Amino acid sequence: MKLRNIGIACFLLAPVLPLAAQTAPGETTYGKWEINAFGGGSFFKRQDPRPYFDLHRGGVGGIRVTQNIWNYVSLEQAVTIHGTNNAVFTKPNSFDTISFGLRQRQVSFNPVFHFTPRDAKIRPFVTVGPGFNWYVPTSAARNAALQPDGAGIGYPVNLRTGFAPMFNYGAGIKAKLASRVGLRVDARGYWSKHTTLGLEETATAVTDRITFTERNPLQSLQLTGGLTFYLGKLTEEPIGDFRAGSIESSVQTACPGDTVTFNLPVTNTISGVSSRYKWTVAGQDQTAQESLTFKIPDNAPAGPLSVRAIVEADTAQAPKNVLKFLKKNPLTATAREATVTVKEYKAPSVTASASPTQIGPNDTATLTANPTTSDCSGNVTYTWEVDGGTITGDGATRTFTPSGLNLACGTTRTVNAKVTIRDAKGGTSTATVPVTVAAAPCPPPPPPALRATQFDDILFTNGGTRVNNCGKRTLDRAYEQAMASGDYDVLLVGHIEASESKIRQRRGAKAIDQQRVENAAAYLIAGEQPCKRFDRSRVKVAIAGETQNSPLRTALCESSVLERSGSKIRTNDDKAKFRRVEVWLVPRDGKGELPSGITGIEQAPEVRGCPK
Amino acid sequence: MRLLLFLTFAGLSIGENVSQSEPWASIGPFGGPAGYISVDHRNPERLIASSKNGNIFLSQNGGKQWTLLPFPRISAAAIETIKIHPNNPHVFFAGVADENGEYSGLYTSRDSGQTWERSSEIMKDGIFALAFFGPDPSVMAVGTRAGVFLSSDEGMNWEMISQGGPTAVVSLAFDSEDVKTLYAGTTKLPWKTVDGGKTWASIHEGMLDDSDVFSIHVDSKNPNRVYASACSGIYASETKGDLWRKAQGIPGTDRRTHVVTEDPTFSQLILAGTTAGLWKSADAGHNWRKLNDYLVRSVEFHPADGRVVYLATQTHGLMKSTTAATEFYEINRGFTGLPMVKLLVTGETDLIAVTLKTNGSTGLFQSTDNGTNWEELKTPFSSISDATYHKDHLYIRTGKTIHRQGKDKNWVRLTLPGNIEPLVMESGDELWVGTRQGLLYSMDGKRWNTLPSPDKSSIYDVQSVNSNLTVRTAKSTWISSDKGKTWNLITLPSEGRTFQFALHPGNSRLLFSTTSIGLMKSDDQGKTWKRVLGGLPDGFMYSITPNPLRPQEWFTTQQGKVFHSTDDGNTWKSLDNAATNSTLIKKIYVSENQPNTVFALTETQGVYVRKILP
Repeated sequence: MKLRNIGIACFLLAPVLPLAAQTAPGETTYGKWEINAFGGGSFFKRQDPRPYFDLHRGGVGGIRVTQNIWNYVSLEQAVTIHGTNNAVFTKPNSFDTISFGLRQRQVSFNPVFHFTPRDAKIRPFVTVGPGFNWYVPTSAARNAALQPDGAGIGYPVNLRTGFAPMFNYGAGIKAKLASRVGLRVDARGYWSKHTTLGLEETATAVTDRITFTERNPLQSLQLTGGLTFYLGKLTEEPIGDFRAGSIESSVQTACPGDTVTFNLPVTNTISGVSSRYKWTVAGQDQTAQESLTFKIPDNAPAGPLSVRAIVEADTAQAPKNVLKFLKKNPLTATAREATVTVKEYKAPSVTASASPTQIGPNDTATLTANPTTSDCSGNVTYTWEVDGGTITGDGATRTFTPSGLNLACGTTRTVNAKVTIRDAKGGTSTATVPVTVAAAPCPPPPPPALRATQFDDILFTNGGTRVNNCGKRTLDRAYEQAMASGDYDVLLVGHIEASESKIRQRRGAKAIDQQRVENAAAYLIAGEQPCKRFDRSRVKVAIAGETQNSPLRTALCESSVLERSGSKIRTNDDKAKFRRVEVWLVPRDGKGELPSGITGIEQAPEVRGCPK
Repeated sequence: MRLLLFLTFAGLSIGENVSQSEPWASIGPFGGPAGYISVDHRNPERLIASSKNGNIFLSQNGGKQWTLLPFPRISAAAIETIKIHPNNPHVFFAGVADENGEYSGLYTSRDSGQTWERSSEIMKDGIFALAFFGPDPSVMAVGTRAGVFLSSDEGMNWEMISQGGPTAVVSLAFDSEDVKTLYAGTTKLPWKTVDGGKTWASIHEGMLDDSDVFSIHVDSKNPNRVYASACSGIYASETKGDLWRKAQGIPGTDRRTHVVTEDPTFSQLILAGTTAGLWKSADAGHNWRKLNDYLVRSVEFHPADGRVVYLATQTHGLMKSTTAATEFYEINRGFTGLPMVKLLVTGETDLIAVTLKTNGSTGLFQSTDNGTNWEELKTPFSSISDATYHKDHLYIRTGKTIHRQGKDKNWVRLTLPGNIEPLVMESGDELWVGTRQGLLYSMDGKRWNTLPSPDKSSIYDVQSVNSNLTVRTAKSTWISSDKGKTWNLITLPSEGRTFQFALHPGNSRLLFSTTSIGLMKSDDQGKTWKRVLGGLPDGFMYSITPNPLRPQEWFTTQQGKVFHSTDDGNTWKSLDNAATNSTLIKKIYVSENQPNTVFALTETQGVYVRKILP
C-alpha cells in the first residue's frame, strides 16, 4: 500500500512540477552525469507464514550512477549495500524466533523517467528496472548455523549466499542545489526471488525445525536520500533568442514618388530586452523602428537605392539574470542591408492620329492617342477635346463624329482634336490631330441655258472687206464650236467705222459692212479650200453699219490689221477696232436668247466661191 | 495670289452604292475630230490625245486602245494644246481657250491625268501654244492672247515676259540651244526675243504680211534653221528668223498649215499638216510631196523611230503610220470625239447612232452587235438634225426635209403636206412630226394626216407613249389620249428650269419632269408637282426615262450619274457611275427591244451601255 500511495502522489504532482521547477533562463544546467550517494532504510515485507521469515529493517547505502541520455530520460546504475538486514525466522508452532546475521547487496540497472527536463531545478521521476540481490549470511551466522540445532534452526545448516534476480520500481525527486550538487530522495520497492539460504525445504512445516514449505518472493521498500553530484560539462541555459532577420521590402522596384515599406523583423525572446533600430536610406538617416515607410524623392535618379538597418538590443528593462547573462554573452548590433531598384521616370509624351483624316459629314473618324510613357508612368488617363463635332468613347481610341458642323456643300472644315494625357505621376502631354470634314460636293450646276457667245472680232483694214488670216482663225474656232454642238448657229454682224461711210464705192457695189459679212460667211460655207463647208442654214448675218452695240473684242486680231513700220508694228490705228465683223454662236431655232441690240438677222446669202 | 482649282473627278460621286450588274461600258461610236496628240518621250507607246469636244485620252499601247481621262468638263471651250512633259511622263499639260475666259487657262496634271489643276496666273487668257526648252524641259513657255508666259519650274509658277511685245501668241518655240531665245508666232507674223523676254522684235522679213503663224519649229540639230507655218505658206529661215524663205513646191496657197515639225531622228525630214492634207519634205523644206488628204491638226513623231508617226486629224480622228508616213491607219478605239445627237435601239442587238455631221463622218452609224462594232452609213445629206426608226424604216430629218431609208438602203425624200418645215420626229404607233403649224402623223411616211397645234404655236417635242400623246409647243405642254383630237394642258413645274419630262407608260396621270432644282413628280397629270427625294442628290436632274416594259422602273440622271428606281420613282439608287462621271448624259434609252439594257447618250463621250437585271 505504501508503494502504491507513493506512486499516486508522484503521478498527481507531475503536471505541476514542470512549472515550478522550470530552470530560469541564463542558469546553468546539469551535467550529463550524476553520481548519487545515498543512504536510508530498508523495510521488508514479512514472509508469513511459511516459514515465518522476516528480514529486519536496516539501513542501506549505496551509489547510483546516472547518465542523462535524453532530456527526460536517464539510465541509472545503482549499487546498494544493506546494513543489518538480519534474517528472522519464527519457529513453527511457536512464537520463538531466531535471527541470524544476513547482509544484502543489490545491483540494479534502471531507466529513469523524469517529469521535468534536464535543466529543471526540481526533477520528479519514476523508475523501474531489473537487478540482482545477494543475500549474504554473516560469518557468525554461518558458524552458528553449523551448530547441531542450527542455532535454533532445528538442524545444522550450512548457510549459503543467496542470489536472486530482482525487480525494483519507485519514484523520487531530484532537487538542484547548485550547478554540481543536488539532493535526491527515492522511494523504491523491490521484488526479488526467494532465497532459502541453504535451509531445508519441506512439504509441510516441521515442528521445531525451520524449513521452507513455500518459496514466496521477497518484497521490500527502500527509502533513501542523498547527495547528487553532477559531472560532465555544464551547459548554460540561454536567456532567449535575439536575432535579426532580413530587411523585407514591400517592392523590389519602385519609382520616384513611390512609398516603400521596409520591415526588419527581429526574433526576440529575451525577457526585458527590446529592439532598437537605426535606418539609413541612400546614406540618409531615417527614424523608424521595425518598419520604415520611405517615400522615394521625385527627383531620385534611376538605379539601385540602398537601405541599411542596424538593430541593437535595448537592455534597459532587462532583469538581472538577463543582464548577468548578457554580461557574459553580450548581444552585438546586427546590420542588414537591402536594395530597391528605382526606375527612371520620364514625363509622358503623346501623338495623335486620325483615321481617316478626311471624312464626310455623315462619317466618323477614329482618333487614336499614342502615348509614350516610362515604367513609372502608371495608368494614363486621356482627355479629348475638339473644336467642333463630338468625341465619344473611352481610353486612347475615340470616335469623332462631325455633328453640328453644318457645312455648306463643297466646303471643308478642319477640326482639331486635342488629346491630353496624364500619368499616375501627374505628368501631362498634349497632341492635336486635324480631321478634315468635307461636306458633300455641291451638285453640279445644271447645263447652262443656251446662250449667245461672242468670239473675237474680225478686223479689217480701212475700207477693206477681205477677211484676213486672223479673222479666218476666229471663224475656224466658231465653226469648230458650232460643229461640236448642234444647238448653235453662227451669227456674223458687219460694221463699218464712221469714216468709211464716206468711201466711194463703185456703182452697184454692196455696202462695205455687207461685203465684210458676206466674205466672212463665204469662208464658212463656200466649201473650197481653205473655206469650210458649213450648213448655210446655220449661218446668220446682220448688217449694223456704224452702230456698235456689241462689245469690242479685238484681243486676238487687233494687231493683224496694223501696218508694219520697219521692224515695228504701228499701233496708232485706234479706229481699226470699229472696222469689224462680230462673230457669235447663237442658239438655234429660238432655243435661247439672241444677243441684244442686233437686228435684221437673216440667213446667210448664197456665196460664189471661197474669197481670198 | 495663286488661286488653285483642284479638280478631282474620281471622288465626286454621290451614293455609289449599287452595282446591279456590270458597270457602264463605252461603246462609241469611236472617232471624230481630234485636236492634238503628244508622245511620251520616255515610253513612246504612251500617248495622250485630245478631241475637239474637250476630252483627253490616254493610250498605253501606241494607240491601240484609248482610255478617257477625267479632264474637267470645259463646255464650249477648246483644248488648244496638250503635252506630256518630256522629262516627267506623269505630268500632262493642256492649254484651253474659250471666248469668255470661263474655262481658259493651263491645266496641269501631275498624276498621269487623274487630277487636274488650273493655273490661276494664266487662267483668264486662252492658252494657244506650249513649248519646252529642249536641253532643260523644266523651262517652258505658253502663248496666250495676252502674250508669252515663262516658267522655270515645270509650270509651277509663271511670269509674263512679253510686255510691249507680241500679243495673241498662237505658236511658240525655244531655240534648241539658247534658253533665252524664244520664237513667238502671233496672229500676225512672228516675234523673237534673245534675252529671255526683256526685248522683243518682230521677225517678218521675207514673210507675207498677213501671216497667222500657226506653228514654229526650230531645227534640233541646227538652231539657225527655223520653220514657221502660216496660212500664207511654210517658211524656213537659216538665220534664226531674221530672214524667211517661203517654201516652194507646195502647189496652191489655199491651205492653212497648222503644224510643221521634223523627224527627230533625221532633221532634214519635215512633215507639214495642213487643211489640204499632210505634206512631206526630205530636204529641210526645199521640196514637198503630198502624202494624203487628211485635215491634220497635230503631228507627232516617235522620238527614236522616225517610221512611226501619229496624226490628230479633223477628218479621221487619230491616225498612225509605221511606214514613215507613207500609209496611215485609224487608231480610234476608245476615242470618242463625235458629237452625239441621238441613239436608236432598233432591235435586240441593233443600234443606230446619230452624230453631228463632221468633216470626216456622215453622222450616221449602225451597229448590229450592240455597239461592239459600228459601220458608218453613207448618206447624201449635208447635215442631220434628227432621226427616228418606225416600222423597219429609218427616218432622217435634215433641216427642212425628211428622208426615209428602207431595207433596200435607198433614201427617199418624203413629201410633207404643204412642204411645211419639220421640227421634230417621234415614232410610236404612228410616225409623228412636229411642225410650226401643228402635227403630222403617218403610218408609212407616205400618207399624212394633219392636226393643228393645241395652242397654235410651233411643236418642238412629241412623245408617244402607248395610247397617249404629249407635245411641247413654244408656249406650253399638252397631252392627248385620243390621238390629238382633244388636248389637256399640262402645267410643267414652275420652279427652276425644266429639261425633260416623261409620261408613265401605264398611268397617264403620272408624270415626271427634270428641272434645275431636281426631279419633280405629278400624280394628277401636271396640276400639282412635288419634288422627288428618295435617294436623289441635291441639284438638277436632267434626263428621265421609263422602262417601257416595266412601267414602275425609271432612270434619271444628274450630269454623268444615273439613278434607278423600281417603285415609280419613290426611291432611287445610284448606279455605279464611275465611268460616266465626267460627262453629261443627255438621254437614257431603254427600249422594248432590250428592256434589260440601258444606254446612256452622252454629250461628249458617245454611248455607254450596261445591263440592269429585272
